[in-house]
Amino acid sequence: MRLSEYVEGIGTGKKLRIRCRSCRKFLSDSRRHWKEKVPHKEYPLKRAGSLMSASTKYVLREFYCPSCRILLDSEVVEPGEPFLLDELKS
Amino acid sequence: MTEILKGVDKVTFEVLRHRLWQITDEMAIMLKRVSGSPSTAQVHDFMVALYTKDGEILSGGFGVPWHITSASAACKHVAKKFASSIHEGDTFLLNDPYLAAIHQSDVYLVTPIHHMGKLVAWCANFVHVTDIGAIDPGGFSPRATSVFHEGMRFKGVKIVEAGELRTDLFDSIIGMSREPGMVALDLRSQIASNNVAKTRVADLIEKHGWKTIRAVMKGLIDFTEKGFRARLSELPDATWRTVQHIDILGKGYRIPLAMTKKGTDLLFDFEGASPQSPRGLNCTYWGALGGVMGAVFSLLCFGFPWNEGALRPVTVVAPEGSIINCRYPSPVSISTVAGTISAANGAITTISKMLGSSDKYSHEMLAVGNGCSCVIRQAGINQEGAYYVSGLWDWLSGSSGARSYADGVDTSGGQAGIMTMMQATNIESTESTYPLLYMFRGQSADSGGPGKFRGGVSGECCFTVYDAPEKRIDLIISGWGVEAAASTGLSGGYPGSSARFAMYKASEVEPLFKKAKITTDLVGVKAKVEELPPQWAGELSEGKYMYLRWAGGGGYGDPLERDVELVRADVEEELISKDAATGIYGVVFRDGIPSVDKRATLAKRKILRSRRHGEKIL
Ligand SMILES: [Zn+2]
Repeated sequence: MRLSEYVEGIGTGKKLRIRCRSCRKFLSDSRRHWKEKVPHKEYPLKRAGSLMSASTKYVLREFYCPSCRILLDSEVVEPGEPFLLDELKS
Repeated sequence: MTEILKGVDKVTFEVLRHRLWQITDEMAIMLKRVSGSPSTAQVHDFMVALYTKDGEILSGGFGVPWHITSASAACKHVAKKFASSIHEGDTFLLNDPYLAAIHQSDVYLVTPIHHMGKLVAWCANFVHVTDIGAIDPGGFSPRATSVFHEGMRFKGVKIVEAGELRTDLFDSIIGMSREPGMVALDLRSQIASNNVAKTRVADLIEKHGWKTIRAVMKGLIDFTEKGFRARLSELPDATWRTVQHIDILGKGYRIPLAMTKKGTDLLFDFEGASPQSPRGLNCTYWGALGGVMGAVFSLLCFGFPWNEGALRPVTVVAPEGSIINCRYPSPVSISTVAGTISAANGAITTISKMLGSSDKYSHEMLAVGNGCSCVIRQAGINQEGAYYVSGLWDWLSGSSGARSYADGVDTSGGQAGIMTMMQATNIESTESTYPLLYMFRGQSADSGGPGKFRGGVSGECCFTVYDAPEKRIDLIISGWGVEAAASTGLSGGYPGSSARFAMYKASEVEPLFKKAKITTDLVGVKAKVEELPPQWAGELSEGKYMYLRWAGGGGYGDPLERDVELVRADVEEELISKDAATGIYGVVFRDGIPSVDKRATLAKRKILRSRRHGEKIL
């Protein structure tokens, strides 16, 4: 089941497993959110382009597939702010 | 013929559905034709709609969709307050943001529609009037610290009584504005617009009979609710999250949003939103509801009439005392372009994430575009020697967010999804009306958020005073998004560019004019540059050049996945720089020619990917 451009779910409930749609690498199971299992980095906003703010109040946080290194998701947040975790209910 | 409702066949139902839409279209045309204010006639800062006798949304029409719910609240309030004193030929005026409106500048006119002496429906519109008599000219008031600083506020007054304009009240209202002429034009256009709607609906009842029209009104609302709920049932049950940041006066405001879809219901919860601001960035509940519903109508109710049926599955929770639901008498004059836009941005993102979890609907996703306000108001003595107040709407040249299958639209106008119909005035009209001269206005390379599909690029402009008798005018800026990035991306796509406000003080531009060598950018011009905060009031005088860049659209997907040919074309069309092409998209060019070095590009992209591992590098 598609969850986003690069993330999909296999199975449901406690048997739910999340994998990368690009390389099919399993990222997590139902016990942990996939964002808590994959590599992530926080960059200055300027990474998104030269016209972006130079402020250090906000960061661009990126999440990668540990296998194919595709950019699974990004967030504009305050440094260290909890991840934006989308949760499936079914 | 098959009956779709009791006594109404399918064809009649479809004809009447489109006829109601067409009536709202004519309401919009009437506003544009009668009013002469640039905000109404050119920018389209208005909304028109029809409502049932109970004030439920019947047909949300042309304009800024977040006002559809507010005008419904205005009809409901007037219906309750005036009850037995509502008569044929009356029209009511209301602009209180604590009752229904979003900020005082957006004035609602609501008119009852009668049949055989009985109230059967309402028509309503709003127009953003040129000046509402607030502490700062132009209605957006960065200096206001209370709603009492933000201009006249009406809880509902009868502006037209039994077909006669109440000139005592009308004159008092326009007399409280710094721009009585423009406000008079706007109010008259609003009365004309509602008169058209009233006449057309009455004609429709005459032709088809009240029984049929009543059945169609109810049927349309049920049709939308049923279709919308069926669409929701095709999407997974889940909670999707996002966060918006408003940054002003050295303080950041957080507006998180969790949208939960369960069965055929949608809950938008702003729990955790920052406490209300001492300045007018706040919105009341009506601003939060409107912002969310603007996105719901556009992104989820395509193909259905926009009416009460779209509202029924939706709940909006906004904590009281927060920037997204402030307490009386907090200031709210900037709410439409701060709290309300943030609510809309959040809703666009969470709805798009939901659509992205469906193979069937993922092509309907839309990243946020032109996500923050860059409102500028101007006031002073014009070239005819008269005092004037007006706006500058360059930022409504816009930028739209990327989609899951295509780039965002460059300088798309307004904000795709929620302010689609809004647009900038053209420079020639601005220069001929006001004591201003534009140095340039154009698209801004690298402003579109990078991604597999790029956000639409935004633009930049620069202007100075010209032929101003006092050699100066006042400028009032009510923006944000300079420090943060409001146009967030989707599925890894990067945000669109931040906004920028700056004042250039340059002595060498004037001689260039005199030699008829006009500068088309500020590159190479020796200038003292002052970066301006996004909430600012000051003067623009001779020798000074106001620079503005508004926000680009958010991107979609991994920039390293972007088709190399699209990157090359973007460089050629100056929509992205060569530096961004290589540094962000990993595309390497052969020296001197716009041709891609494929081998070097593969290698560069491999290097950029190899750097993607987990550690903080701030
Ligand atoms: Zn992968």
